[in-house]
Amino acid sequence: MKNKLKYPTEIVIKPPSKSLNLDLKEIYRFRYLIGNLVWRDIRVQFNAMYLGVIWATVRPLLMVTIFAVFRNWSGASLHVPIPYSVYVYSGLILWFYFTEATTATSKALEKNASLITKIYFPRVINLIVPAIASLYGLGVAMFPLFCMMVWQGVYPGWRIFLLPFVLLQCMLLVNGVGTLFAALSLESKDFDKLLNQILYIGLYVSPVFFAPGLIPEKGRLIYFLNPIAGTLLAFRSVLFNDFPFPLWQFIYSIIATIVLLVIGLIIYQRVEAFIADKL
Amino acid sequence: MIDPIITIRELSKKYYLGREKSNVVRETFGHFLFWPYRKIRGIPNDILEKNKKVIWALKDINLDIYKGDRIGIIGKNGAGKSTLLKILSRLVYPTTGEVRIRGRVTSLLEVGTGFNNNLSGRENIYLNASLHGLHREEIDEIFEDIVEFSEVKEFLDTPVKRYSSGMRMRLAFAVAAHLDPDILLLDEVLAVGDMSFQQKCLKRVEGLTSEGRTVMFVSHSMDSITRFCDRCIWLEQGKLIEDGKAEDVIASYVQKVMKVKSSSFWVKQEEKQALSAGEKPVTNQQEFVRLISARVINSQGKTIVTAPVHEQIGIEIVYDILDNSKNIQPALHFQNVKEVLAFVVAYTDLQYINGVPQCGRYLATVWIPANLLNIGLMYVNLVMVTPDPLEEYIFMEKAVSFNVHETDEVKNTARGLYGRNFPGFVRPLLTWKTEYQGEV
Repeated sequence: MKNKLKYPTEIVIKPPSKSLNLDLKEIYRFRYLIGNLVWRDIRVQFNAMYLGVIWATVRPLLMVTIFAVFRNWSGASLHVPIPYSVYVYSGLILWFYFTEATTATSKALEKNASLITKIYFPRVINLIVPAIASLYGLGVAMFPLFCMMVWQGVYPGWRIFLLPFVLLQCMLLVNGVGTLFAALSLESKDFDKLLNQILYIGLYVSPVFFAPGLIPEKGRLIYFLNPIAGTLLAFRSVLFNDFPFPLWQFIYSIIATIVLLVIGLIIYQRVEAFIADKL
Repeated sequence: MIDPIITIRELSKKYYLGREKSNVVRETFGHFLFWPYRKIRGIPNDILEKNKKVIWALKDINLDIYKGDRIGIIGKNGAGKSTLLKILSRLVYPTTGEVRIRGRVTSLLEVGTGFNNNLSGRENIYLNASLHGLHREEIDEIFEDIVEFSEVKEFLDTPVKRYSSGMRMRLAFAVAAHLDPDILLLDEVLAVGDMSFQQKCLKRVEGLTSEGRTVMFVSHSMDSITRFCDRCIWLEQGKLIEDGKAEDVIASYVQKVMKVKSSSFWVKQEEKQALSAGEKPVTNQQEFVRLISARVINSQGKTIVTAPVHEQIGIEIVYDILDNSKNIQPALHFQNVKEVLAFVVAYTDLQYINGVPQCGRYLATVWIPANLLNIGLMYVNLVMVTPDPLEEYIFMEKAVSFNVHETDEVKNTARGLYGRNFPGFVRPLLTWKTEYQGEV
């Protein structure tokens, strides 16, 4: 059998280095494994149930109904410039994607402990997979959104071409936060709880079921420190033509993502040196 | 000079004892926070290191491994065998030192890792092979071979959770065995599974090595190491004790660890009287007979610790007859490890059976035929007796001992086609004669 892949001619095993080094070539060499692990995650998640596709959409749909009903009863103005149900639903599916993928990433090392301690492969792959695998659920949840958009008469404009870019930013944010907490939770389970709390509260402070117009002018600067806020607004903007693109907020989100990713990787690398001893 | 395929230099691995989990983040922060305090009080910065109990799983290992080497790694539990394999398979980092590997490594530290219960056998083959870095096209090529080897063809689309444990193992080994590595690391994985499958695995490993692959193999079974390895590494408490030809290393390992003593000298050879401290000449009270030495030898007369099953083994006894008025003769009692008496060998040399004509030194050798003893350890008690009336003059318990092993060189042993080891003390190679007598 011929090796179609170029294997490194020499592997050098040394004590762990302190500096950040991410072997992208090695990760690329294992790209088929990434695909396989993503497929495994999706298969395992959706194969064990008959109504997997329904469960992916039922939670955001129910929540949209509740939010819409309460808003109508209370008559509160949430400063949403487009039809409310479309706004909330799109926000919820992206938010749930973020929550699920981040939680899965933070638990990925422990979930795959049996692999990590027995077979060598770039361990970072474990932390990349959940963000990709969860896209499947997001994709499924998009179908009801298209129906709602047609029904409400909201259509995307040219900015729809920015969608992959926004999703990529969201995935990297998932990777950053997830990696950080995956590394920390190896040290102490307290960090698992902390992440749960952050994600739980995050739903109510992020622009998911209200628009930032609700926030007083003075508070907005602080409000947009939340890195996912820019992502959520940009997601709406690429989907709905009438929704303005939050340029500065999104640029901030990108910067915050990069910073979180670097911090996450640095801490992860410190822990990775002992990972097989710990799991 | 060929470059070694693996070079290991000054390799050490340190583990901390005590706390179950060391906490890197807390310690780093704590260390940093208390820096001013330590500065004022003059406490050294490496205080944390000193407070911990340290164990060196490996210490300053230097090795060169060449292409085609079949290496067995032996040592007691906790000697660092598995740690070495884990470092070579890049699962744990070394503390100091360096390893250079020029080739593709596949390690099989545990059978069945990476299997997902909910996926089918087919999907698991792809998943498992991709964990070892293979791509789809590469897996497609070896897929048929894997299925054939694992004998699970009809269950390929069944989820692995419905497989029997034997089937899972066959599948897992099949994948690992077909990965086409340059270097294969095995950690006692072959110790599991039924015998026929073990044989199949070992054959496959043998096949791989005959193609010039390098195999490293941790095992507690001396037998499989002598059969499959040509080089052996003996580790003890993280240190390399011996590295060399498998038979030699195993011989000294058996000697040291299993307390095999293939030669005993009761009197210093050169001068009869001068004895080293603590040693006394073994004589009976009335000074009828004195034992000088006993050795286990091969047909070339060389002292051996472990003997191949297909060669004859000699027990050589040197003794002085001080008074030939009584017919004193040597006799041997053979015992196994459990101290069960296997058989007794009486003195049958017709020339001297009725007594020795004169006092003096005698050298008597008795030969155990080839293909008689079972493989394993044998202890020999040496007795000096008069046969009739039976009077015992000297009884040396475990005077000498030796190990019988199987080698791969000779196919015609009493093992036949059997994979498992035989019970009993002897395993004689007898002659069978079978005749076809017509249809019934």
